[in-house]
Amino acid sequence: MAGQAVSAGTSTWDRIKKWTPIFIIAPSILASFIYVFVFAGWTFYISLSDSTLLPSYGFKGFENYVSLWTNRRWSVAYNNLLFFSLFYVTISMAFGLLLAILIDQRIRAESFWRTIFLYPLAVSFIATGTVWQWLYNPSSGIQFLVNSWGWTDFQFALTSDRKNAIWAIIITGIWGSAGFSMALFLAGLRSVDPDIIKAAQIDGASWFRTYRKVILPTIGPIFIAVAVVLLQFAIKTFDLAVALTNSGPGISTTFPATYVYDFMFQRGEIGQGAAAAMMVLAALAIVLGAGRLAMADAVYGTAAVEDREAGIASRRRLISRIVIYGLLGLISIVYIVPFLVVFLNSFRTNIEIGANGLISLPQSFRLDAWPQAWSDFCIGGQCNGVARYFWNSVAMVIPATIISTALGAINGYILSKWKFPGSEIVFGCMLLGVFMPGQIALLPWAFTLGQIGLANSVYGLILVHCIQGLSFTTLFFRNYYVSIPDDLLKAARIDGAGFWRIFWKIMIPLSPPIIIVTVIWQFTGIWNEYLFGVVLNSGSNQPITAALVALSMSGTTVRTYDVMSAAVLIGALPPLLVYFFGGKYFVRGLTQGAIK
Amino acid sequence: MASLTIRNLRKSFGVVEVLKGVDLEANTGEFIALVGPSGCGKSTLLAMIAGLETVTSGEIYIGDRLVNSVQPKDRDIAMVFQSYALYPTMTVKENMAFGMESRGVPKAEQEKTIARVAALLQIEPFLKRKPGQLSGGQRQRVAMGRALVRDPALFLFDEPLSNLDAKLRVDMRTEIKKLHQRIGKTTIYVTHDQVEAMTLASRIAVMHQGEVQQFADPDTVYNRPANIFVAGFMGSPSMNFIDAEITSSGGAPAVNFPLSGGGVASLPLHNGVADRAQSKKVILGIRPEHLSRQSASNSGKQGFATMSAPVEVVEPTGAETMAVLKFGDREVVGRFSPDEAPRTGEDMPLAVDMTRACLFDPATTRLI
Repeated sequence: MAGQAVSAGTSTWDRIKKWTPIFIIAPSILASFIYVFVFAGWTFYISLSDSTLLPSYGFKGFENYVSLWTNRRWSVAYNNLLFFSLFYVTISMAFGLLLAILIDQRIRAESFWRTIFLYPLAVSFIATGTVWQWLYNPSSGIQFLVNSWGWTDFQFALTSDRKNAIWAIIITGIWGSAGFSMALFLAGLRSVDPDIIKAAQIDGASWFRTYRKVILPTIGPIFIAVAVVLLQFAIKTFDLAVALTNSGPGISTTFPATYVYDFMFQRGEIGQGAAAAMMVLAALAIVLGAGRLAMADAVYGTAAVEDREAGIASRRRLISRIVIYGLLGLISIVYIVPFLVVFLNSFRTNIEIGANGLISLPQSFRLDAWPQAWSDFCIGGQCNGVARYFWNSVAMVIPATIISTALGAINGYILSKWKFPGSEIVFGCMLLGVFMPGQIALLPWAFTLGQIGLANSVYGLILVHCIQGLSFTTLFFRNYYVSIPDDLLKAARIDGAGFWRIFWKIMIPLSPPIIIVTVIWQFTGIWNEYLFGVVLNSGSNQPITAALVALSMSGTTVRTYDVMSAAVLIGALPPLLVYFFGGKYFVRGLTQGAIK
Repeated sequence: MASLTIRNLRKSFGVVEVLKGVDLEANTGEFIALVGPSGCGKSTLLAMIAGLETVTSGEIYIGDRLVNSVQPKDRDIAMVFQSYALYPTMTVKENMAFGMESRGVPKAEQEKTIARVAALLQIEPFLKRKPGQLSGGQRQRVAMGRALVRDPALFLFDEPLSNLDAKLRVDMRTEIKKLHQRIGKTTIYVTHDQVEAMTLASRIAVMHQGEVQQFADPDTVYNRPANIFVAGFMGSPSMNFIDAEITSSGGAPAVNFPLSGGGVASLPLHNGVADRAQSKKVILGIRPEHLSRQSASNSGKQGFATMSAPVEVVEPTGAETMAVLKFGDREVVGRFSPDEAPRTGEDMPLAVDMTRACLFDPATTRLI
């Protein structure tokens, strides 16, 4: 009697069901493992080999590293990186903190101001870089504008000046990411216990003293988090340098990441390119390791930026209000002008732009540039406009977003609610994928896609983005699902629900917020990606970002700013629309992605 | 017939032994309370009965079926969680239907069962609402409703009232008792609140450090606690413990302990207790309500001892007054009716009900 009961309880079917979660997550684990360990290992091996134009496996020890470190171009690259990091990180942080504090003053229309400072994050560095490159152009951009005001001696030609070209990248970089540090600081400021602030006010602390002595010290860990993320951006700097200066003039704005690309794919020195890629990986590892150490004891809450209206409620005099709105207004001009320039110029005639410069009010209005950019414009010898590339990006981004989000949901569900021995280690390994620089995976991807017949195809890029995105989507969903009480699942198990029924009936109905965050994150990330698009695909199979670069590089002809403006807008439109309609979730993704 | 039988049940998480050989049984229709401080293993025991935790060793029978490795859904149980664990995206009705859907109960029968249970718990008005729109007490009812639609062999409650405020908790306690009297299902109820255990249970299992310290009806647990832990845990304010010594002056056994004035209190023992003691040294346990002011009616009464003690603190609560008294260097709490309450500083003449006093062996901490 009792024996029968036992066998009924542990039927073969039950035993199979017990393994369901592991069967389902196994492919993701395998893919992450290959991506993180095999790819990095392979690139490391190549860096020790005598590979030149093609991978070859003759071992030559650390020779590539020796020649890398004696190469003048490499010394330019890492010196640039140090210089860039120093100014980019500190100024972005200071600027972001200023914006966060201004916005934290119970200002009116807070979300309007936030929207202005954050929109650059939705746009690719390629589009941003392209537009700023025009603004730096002395014969049509900022210098032209100031000269036309009557100050004819004014010089502002950063991109054509060897010594100062790096400042063009620094300024544009800050413009692109100060909003990000603002979002993180704002989340930090909002997580400070309002009672602490009230206590400081009762203690008679001034506005300034309250920030300096009470609020900022309590959000110390946020400073480290912002610095680590910005340093990661700096080390991975590639898109911006390509779009702004293309490493020039000469080699003056070479960065380690562009160096990797040049040596691997332009000069046929794969071995040395791989060695440089390993150095990029090492730099990232050092930054993240140091960040982790510094954050080890930090306990901090991450309130969502939009969730609370805290701020210091002090008696504001009119003057302080004027200062706050004045500063916000001034800064927002810097943020809005580049967008307005592109938008308005897409409706002006090229002749008028040539005569009055890029930054001036339109005297004419015509729509011709848009259809031209869409279907007639010549890019790299093909005169079919950006339509083809736009559709490539669409065909890539939709399946890649759906698949990576779905996998992330199921992986996150397993790693949070169906833990198995070693599942924490598995999660840790998948997390490493979040930090992997693209340069490390370039060669392995090119090789792998070639082997499985997906080279130079949109399907290849879909595969790449699914596996690249897996770490992020799993992280997002896992962290979200951890906060769902386990009692809910226990109740469901007693109610007779199994793995799938719990997933569909309980977890998924609770998931819309995190699904939206993940979809937006993946969509904008994949749409704006440039490196894989330009390396793994060529010609008419490239995504829109690669087309935009090709378009602005075609410097032989007279610049047709009207058509190029329309093309840049077409390329930036999908993520911008996503940003304007899902801004709240977009910001949530940013802050979650940053604070892992 | 036993609805639940547990034999020598053990549970280890790694090297940590959480349950160290638990034996328990519940007869059909019984209400068993598992009570103990946090970390005593009571919730783990309940989770193992539910099948949510694996069994390290030992046996669990529901009815006469060994269920050690049976899936939770196949154990014929229902459970009410501390957090209620209502599915937040489903309406009350969907919450109640979820389990029946999983088991493939026909739609018409689902409707009938939900209607019956909703009427029983008076939750019909909220059937279409979501848990987020309900108050704590209403959620509590829905959680019970979800368990009741199952009509299981065994009800499991995991601290179901601890998320409610004090007044609602008392109301729901009464409701649970009424409900149990009406449907008469075997119930295992985990709580850390000894009052809940006392008021609800037909038998109480007091747990501590992974072991059942005593398993008996509430009256026995309260009046004849098996050891010092049980004696101290059940009852509020706690039982007073006084180091004392057994003497026999002229054949009549008594317990002696020093008083703060320098004298010695000598309280007579009833027959038989003194003979069971292994040594002269004992711990005398007196509940606060067994101290009263000396009066004509109690001072000469059989089994009552008299003494006096200084009063340090007086804490009136309205219905009764607590007072902290000094027995030697020990603080002792007494519970008095307001009209016989002492004043601070008074040397209070006391009558001690020695028929209700407990003696414990200091070496084993067991009741003598």
